[in-house]
Amino acid sequence: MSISLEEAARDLRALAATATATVRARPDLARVAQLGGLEAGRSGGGTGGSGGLTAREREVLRLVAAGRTNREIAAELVISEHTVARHLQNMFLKLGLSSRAAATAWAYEHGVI
Amino acid sequence: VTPAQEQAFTEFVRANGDALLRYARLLVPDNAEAEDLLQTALLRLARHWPRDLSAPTAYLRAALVNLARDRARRRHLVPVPAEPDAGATADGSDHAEAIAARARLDAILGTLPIRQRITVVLRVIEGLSEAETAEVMGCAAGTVKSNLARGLEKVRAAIQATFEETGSR
Repeated sequence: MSISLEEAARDLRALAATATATVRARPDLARVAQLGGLEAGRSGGGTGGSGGLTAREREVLRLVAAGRTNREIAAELVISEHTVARHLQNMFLKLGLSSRAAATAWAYEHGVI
Repeated sequence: VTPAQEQAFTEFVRANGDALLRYARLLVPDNAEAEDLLQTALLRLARHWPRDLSAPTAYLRAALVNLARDRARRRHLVPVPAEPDAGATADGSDHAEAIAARARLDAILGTLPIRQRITVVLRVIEGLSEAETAEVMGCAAGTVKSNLARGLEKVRAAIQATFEETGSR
């Protein structure tokens, strides 16, 4: 039995619909993006709570606060160093921070450790 | 940024967030990565927002395509073991059927090089026209055509292979 390209396209569409049916954006997605984007440059990490960090960002932050280098963090989380740097940059923007030391202080103050 | 612009941004994300995340999820084989990709794209959008973008969805589609391409390039340079999809969605409401479908979808789309994958996602699943796809990908219409033909043939072969394995559709 052989299927046509049209059938393959139809099957793929159906599969994609089922696969993503339960995928939902975080309810605070807009707020998170605004913290980093619209409010970029406004200093002071007075955003409270988790500061709109994603789970992955909190993981990276925990490791930064433990004194790990980007390379060590990349190896531990099985992601590239570039991705670690991107997570850090996004966090700095969101939290209005400018250094790893400030991020570490923020992590302690906000109980991320 | 005025409060009205912030409000408009929030409403845009609320209205389109789910659809954009589903689209991002088709470009990468992992829920957490799709969320990271979308968030990065939205951060970029938010920085441009006061400039009153006329087509924020088109901007985001293109931004996500670029991020997916960057990701593929890095993976190519530094091979990273495939991370199995943790399965659960952010709000925990997931179904065995959806998890199984994602595994199959990732296996099928995983056989495509990134440009073919993006083209197939945009043309076949997202339903964009050839011209729209060319604009999002920043390439010629002819390139879309050839990437679609090659990609869809690989999709067909992958689906065919799973049928032959399981002996049924």
